[in-house]
Amino acid sequence: MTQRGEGTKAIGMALVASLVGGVFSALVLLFVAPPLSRLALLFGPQEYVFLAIFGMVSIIGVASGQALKGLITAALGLLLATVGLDLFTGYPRLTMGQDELLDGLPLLPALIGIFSVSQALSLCLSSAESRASQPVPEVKGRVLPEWPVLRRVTRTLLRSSIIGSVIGILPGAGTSVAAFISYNEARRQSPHPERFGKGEIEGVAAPEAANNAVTGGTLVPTLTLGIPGNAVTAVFIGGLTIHGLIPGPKLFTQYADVTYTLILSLILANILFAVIGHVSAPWISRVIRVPSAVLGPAIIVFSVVGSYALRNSLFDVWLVLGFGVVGFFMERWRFPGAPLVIALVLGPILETNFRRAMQISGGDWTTFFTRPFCLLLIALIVLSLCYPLIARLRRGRRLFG
Amino acid sequence: MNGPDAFPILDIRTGLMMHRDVFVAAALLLLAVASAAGVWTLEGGARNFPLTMAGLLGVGAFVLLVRSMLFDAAEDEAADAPIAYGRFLIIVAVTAGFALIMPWVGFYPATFLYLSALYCGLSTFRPHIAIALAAALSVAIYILFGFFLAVPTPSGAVASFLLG
Repeated sequence: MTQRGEGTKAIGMALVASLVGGVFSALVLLFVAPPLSRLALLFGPQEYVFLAIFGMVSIIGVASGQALKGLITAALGLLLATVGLDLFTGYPRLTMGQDELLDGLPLLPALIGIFSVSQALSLCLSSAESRASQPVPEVKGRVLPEWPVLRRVTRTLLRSSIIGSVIGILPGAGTSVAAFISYNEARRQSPHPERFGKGEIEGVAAPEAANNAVTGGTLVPTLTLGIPGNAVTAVFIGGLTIHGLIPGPKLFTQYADVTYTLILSLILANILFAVIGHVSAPWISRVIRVPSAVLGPAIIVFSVVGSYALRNSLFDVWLVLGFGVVGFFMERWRFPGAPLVIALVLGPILETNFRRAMQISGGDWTTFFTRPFCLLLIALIVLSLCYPLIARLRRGRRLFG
Repeated sequence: MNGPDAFPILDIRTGLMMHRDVFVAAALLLLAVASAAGVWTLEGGARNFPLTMAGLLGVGAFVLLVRSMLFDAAEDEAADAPIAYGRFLIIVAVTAGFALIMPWVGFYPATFLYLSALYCGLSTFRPHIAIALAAALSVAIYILFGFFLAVPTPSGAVASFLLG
């Protein structure tokens, strides 16, 4: 969209989608928290296995057009996810003698490398090749999307908000999975899936709404059960405990005044974010006017600061640079990077819960097919896999019928 | 286009390696075999998952290898945006140099040197403007990360020695 001079529109849609997603999930937290958290409590390792597989199925959608390369990068991601000490036996696996890898391959350096440094390297290269001769795209127009555009994306916003909230409630899945699944769903539901990745506004709306909807969803098990869904909510629980607030059902009865104020402040924070974003959007979008020769090296420096600050480790800096080079070639050689990252996130969830389920069942495979939620998730997986085929058949029938 | 003529390894005119998917698939296959060998001796359930994933990667790489050899992808590959490998190697080498000198001279001086080198080499700015820009950005990065956010960065062995 930026290349078409619609950078401001993209930011405007991201603002609206973030507001809708954030407020929706805060309302979910407010009204549906206790029953939903009871549902999540019923999920055992068997269900998490299928949940991880359901997330993996989205890889097929993300890597559309490059299915084989997408599956290869997913397999590579799953293999890389096994690096580190095996939690069940304590054996180091594929660490190549590096102590820094005993805790596993850190996800953030991989993310920063594949998505940030690779793009920065491309910018550095393009600075001499094309940017010098190309005119800088003009950023113009109003920030907020027009009413017809908003009407068109309403269903996508609601669907993505629901996906984000539900995934947020389930610990471990996180914002990346929610964003990818909602993007995938938006593309599958769209009458013009080929426009995704080429400036389709729904491609901005879906992940942004889901991304923000995860925030409220993650707080559901955190506040009602004391189960942190991610590192941020783990810190949040620590903060609550410091103030004498023990997460659990009591928060909604004994400390209801504090809890409901907290939830309402989440809604207020989303509204304030939208207002501040709306005011500053015209300036923010001018980032594209910065020459790529200036931007590229600066992004690499920012990436280095971010990666070093995670564990005060220079090893992570080298990881970022290594993944950056790999990501650069993956992009140029048409190997999608998203499946690698999804697999890195879901790999440990898949393996840990699979082995836990097998231990609990004493090696009985039928444990995966005798639980109602497992069957529901299997049905969803089959439906997700078959949907493109069904949609193609329906389109074909319409075409010939 | 099939047959022996369909497998040029090096295009003399462009100097680019053609049929790169063959080489990528071979490298991935090698990685899969090495990973499988790396976990082969592990006991219990520790090796099953990585071994399965190595197998999956190996199968995928093998299919890609066969597909790349059977179907001529040279035209598709030639249509991709060309990579200026020399320039790319220089940028990567300078970036690696940045990471190497960082623990010695400290993060902020290394940042200034890195940005100066790349701005002088990549941008159309005159050298003194490029260096001034690098200095200004390094100071801004220090103010943001070092002063306001207190983000830990390598202080630098040389800098620590000189400053006592």
